[in-house]
Amino acid sequence: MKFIKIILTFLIVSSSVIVEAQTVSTDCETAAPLAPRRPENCQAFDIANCWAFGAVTYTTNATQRITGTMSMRSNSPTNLDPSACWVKSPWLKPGTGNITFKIKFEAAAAATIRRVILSYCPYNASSITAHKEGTMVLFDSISYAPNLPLTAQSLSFAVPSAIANSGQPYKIRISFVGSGGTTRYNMDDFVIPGTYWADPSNSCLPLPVIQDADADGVADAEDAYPNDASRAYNNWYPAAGKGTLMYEDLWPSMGDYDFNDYVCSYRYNLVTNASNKVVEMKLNITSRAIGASNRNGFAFQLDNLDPSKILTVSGTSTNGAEWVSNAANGTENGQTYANVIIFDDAFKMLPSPGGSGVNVDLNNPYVTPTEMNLTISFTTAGAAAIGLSDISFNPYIIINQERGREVHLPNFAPSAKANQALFGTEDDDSSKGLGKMVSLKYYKTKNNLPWALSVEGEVPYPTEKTDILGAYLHLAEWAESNGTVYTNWFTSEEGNRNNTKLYIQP
Amino acid sequence: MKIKNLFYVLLLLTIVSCKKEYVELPEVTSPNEKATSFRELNTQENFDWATQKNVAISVQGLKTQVPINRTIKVSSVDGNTTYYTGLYLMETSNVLAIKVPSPVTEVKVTYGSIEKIVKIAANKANFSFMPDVVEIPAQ
Repeated sequence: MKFIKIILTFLIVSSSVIVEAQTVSTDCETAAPLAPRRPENCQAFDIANCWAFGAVTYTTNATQRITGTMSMRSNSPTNLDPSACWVKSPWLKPGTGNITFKIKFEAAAAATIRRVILSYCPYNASSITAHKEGTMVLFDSISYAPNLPLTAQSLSFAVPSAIANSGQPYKIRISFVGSGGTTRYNMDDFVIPGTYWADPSNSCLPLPVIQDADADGVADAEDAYPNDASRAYNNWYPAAGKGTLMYEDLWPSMGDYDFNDYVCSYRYNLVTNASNKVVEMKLNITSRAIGASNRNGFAFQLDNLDPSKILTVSGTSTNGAEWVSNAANGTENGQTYANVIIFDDAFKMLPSPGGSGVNVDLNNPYVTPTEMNLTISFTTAGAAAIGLSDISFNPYIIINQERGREVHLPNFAPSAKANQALFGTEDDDSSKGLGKMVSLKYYKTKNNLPWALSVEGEVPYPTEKTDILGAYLHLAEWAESNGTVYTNWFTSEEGNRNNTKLYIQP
Repeated sequence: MKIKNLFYVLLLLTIVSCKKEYVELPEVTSPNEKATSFRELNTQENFDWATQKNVAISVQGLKTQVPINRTIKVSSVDGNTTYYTGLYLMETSNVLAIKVPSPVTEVKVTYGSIEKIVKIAANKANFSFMPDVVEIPAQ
């Protein structure tokens, strides 16, 4: 078992660092995609790939270029200190062979001496510097005196045997120094034998050995399920806390707009694997209130998702309503897109304690909200697997056991089982063409008023027969301003709520 | 006679010049008047009643010499709320779809040591792995 683990760890490390290049090089020619090929962008690209520069810039000047459209240019050297002007490679595991590059000078005479110095430094984990560089070791150099060459010189220096094939990460620094005069260097086409070993996503430090117990390619430190290769990440909606869904249930007629005919809190987690495919949806629903006498059901549609993409559904609560007909995978039969009936009768979830409704009148006994946990598992096989953006959660109520009478959030499409004859009747102004699911207006009145609201946070809802505008004092301004003012109208911030009009748990 | 005629002309001119002009005043409305019941609300056809919004974050890939594949995270600016996590190959460009509360105007994108705050405008944001170039001082 231990042997298998060692082999697995080796494979993980090998696969996460696919060694393609046996040389580390730059020809100064590449900019990031979409970035104009200007000197600063090409240099930024190389810096992003962990090259470093001291007093060196990129140039497109025709008299300064060596090959291609871009080369490097040094500052005017003022001393022979190798740390004055340099090009430094990313971390690499040096191979054998020669380090090669090209140089030329901008003037033949304006100099006393010019010198190219090569150094290497080892990785030093205990260094207090951010780059963890050990002490530089000089290993080769070449000097020039006037007349300096004005045409490209191809230079070649052997990788020192002390570091070649050592298996350890090193950086190579090439310094361009000198004294006297102002003549600058032009440089290009650096090639260093070895294996690139820097991580641009980790401050350009050497590539780490990744701990990955389940060998799914996601490091344990970043894996929400480090011992489960089929799961890697949690993606919560809402991202923080819960959301609140509030419904009116007289559709297609307008109601009293207390938005408490059915109220629940919800949150769901889309668990994804290392391929960013959704493995399962874990949905938490807490039924909080029923401000109605209708025996409403509650369901959701995953818009545009074929029911066959769902493997199983668990955690629903149906009590034999004759209109409920589910397939073997737990989705509702006869639907175009995946629909799940969460429960068929709200009063079975939240029994009435007597009096009007449940948890909408402070004079009536409080009923502890009922929590449900559903798990919907998805196929992750090949092309059938789905991504996060394929999940569009569309929750709705089914009014009073009448399957075709659905109430969705505004502009959310009805299911295939919605009774299309009801659209456009009474106060509903949903667009026609519903059968083709092409409408842009669903479940709204002529004044664009909804029958349901989805609100961030587990917010209180109005008491029975209380118009929601009397409870949420800035909702009107938010809605009539097209959402530009009072965007936090639903929060507990002072002045937003009239708590005497809200059902707040006694 | 001439004096009498002149008197009538002057009288007529006086009457005409003193005619009261009725200037049409704008209708008096209260700018702060707001609906007191939900039924009275007037909202625009395109108004989105949701208190969350969908945001598309365009991630601009960076070609690397070896494949770098690690977790990308989109979170609130303070890092306390995570909107997205997934494995991401650094050299690829892609769009991440996230859902954030409507008032959110910025999010933080984290990829290893690379961390950037990006602005949301018209439900879109852009992220690049390119570091901000540090000016190298002349020697």
